[in-house]
Amino acid sequence: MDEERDVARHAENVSADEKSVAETADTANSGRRKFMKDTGLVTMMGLLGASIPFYNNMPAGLVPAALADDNVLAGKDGLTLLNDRPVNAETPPEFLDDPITPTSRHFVRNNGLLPDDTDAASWTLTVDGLVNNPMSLSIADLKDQFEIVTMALALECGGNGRAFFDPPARGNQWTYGAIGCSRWTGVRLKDVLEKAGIQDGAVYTAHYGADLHLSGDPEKLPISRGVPIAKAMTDNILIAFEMNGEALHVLNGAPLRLVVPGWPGSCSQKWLTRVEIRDQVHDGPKMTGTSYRVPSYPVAPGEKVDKKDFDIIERMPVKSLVTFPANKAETGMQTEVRGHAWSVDRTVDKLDISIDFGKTWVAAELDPPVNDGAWQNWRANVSFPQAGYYEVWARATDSAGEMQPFAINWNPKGYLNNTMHRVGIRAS
Amino acid sequence: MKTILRLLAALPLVCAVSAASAFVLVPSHITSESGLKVLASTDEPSEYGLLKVANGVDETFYACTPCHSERIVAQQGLTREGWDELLDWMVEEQGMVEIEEPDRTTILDYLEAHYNEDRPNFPN
Repeated sequence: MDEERDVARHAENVSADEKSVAETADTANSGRRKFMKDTGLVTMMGLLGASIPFYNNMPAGLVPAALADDNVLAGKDGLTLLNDRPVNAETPPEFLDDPITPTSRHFVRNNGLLPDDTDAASWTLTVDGLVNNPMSLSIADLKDQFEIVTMALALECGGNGRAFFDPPARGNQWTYGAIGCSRWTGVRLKDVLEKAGIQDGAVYTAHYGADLHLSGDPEKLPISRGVPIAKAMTDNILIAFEMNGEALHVLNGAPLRLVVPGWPGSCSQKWLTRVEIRDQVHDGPKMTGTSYRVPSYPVAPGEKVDKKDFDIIERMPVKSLVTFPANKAETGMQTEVRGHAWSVDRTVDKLDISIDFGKTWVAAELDPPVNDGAWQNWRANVSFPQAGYYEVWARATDSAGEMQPFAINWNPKGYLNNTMHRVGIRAS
Repeated sequence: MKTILRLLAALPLVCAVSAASAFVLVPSHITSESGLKVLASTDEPSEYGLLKVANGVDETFYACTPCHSERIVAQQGLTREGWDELLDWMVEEQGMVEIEEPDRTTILDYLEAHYNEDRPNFPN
């Protein structure tokens, strides 16, 4: 594995994707095993207060019965654990095959520790700042006072794909799977803000959650981001209390969160307690400096960029995934190939696939989004001319004519990698 | 869930007591190259989790893990300058207590050697 990675790393931009092909299957196959073998096991031994003499006999993914309730990824299935404190975990592409992402397969990106109390009955959302009618609302109030809507909404971490940056960018090394499109139920942020009455001079929202800063300092917020008022007033942003028809998963923000599809996931504050309307661009933690920002001009890989030359990321760019077959799969001489494509503030107009390293392309069948804010499902039947190794490449083109690139547009913090996904297949 | 987080937070504190005298307590086979190979072949977990066992790992593990898992450290590939900036950011923005010398230099030496841009110890 080290050799594969080294070889991949030494080639230029194109190599980032080569490495990705090599890593996809490893990530997919070993995620749960990794959890067991690495920190998970160390932690478990600490919690058990004993070594595990027959550790080598334990099936991959097995959580000791004595610790079953303490699994940091309880309720999740097949995710690759990147970090256990705070919890960050992504979904291997082949586990994102469902048209609507099951809760168990939705990625987790946490900046802090889970709140001590996530009781839905006593939860309160405050709406204040530059509004005529500051409000304090229970979840029951939200349900009573506003239209309840259910929408499939695509959420993606701004750093999805960071693992392939060269030189590396700091942060969680997401590969492909910090993306999901679950069915969310809640009320529109817009409706709540209209009832609150936004005053003249309002510029930005500021979102606050109940999660705890890693340092343990109660005065510090792990993250507090926002969006421009015009964005906040669009129809596809929800204050959500259900995910796929059930209460939210605690790792995904229970009991209340924002869902802002198509913008960096960090706009979608989890464990939401307050939305403040501000007369300036919000300056909470991870709004400032270089967080969720990219240079305002093109830069060379590794280039130093002055902090003043960074712009806040808004819309995320056009992207797609191949979710079937899995990387390194063995198939017959023909197979269905399928996945998802998204350019959420726009639509994806075309999804092309290639099986000959990009020499020729054919259009896949592409569904419209099931609603504004959802990803789009696509599929194609592929016949291979002879037995051997092939790569399926997928390339989405959006309604503004923008297409996924082959090479990474490098930036210092490793955001917005929307390069084409490639899946290696052996046909026989 | 809350239980595990609290225990996780407590573990480094418990271990920190023994860490102070780790220099004499760590069995020699753990610090020797041949000992490392034995460790790897039996998959016995290290007390430093994912971090490569080498000079400076003890200082690095106990400086970082009071607040976060060593997993986020092991994922990074940064130059010495990059690590230096990251430690400054931890102090200035994230509430970390300043790391005194000689530990800070020891930690930077360790991170530069084992978690540089060539990512020799990127977790599989």
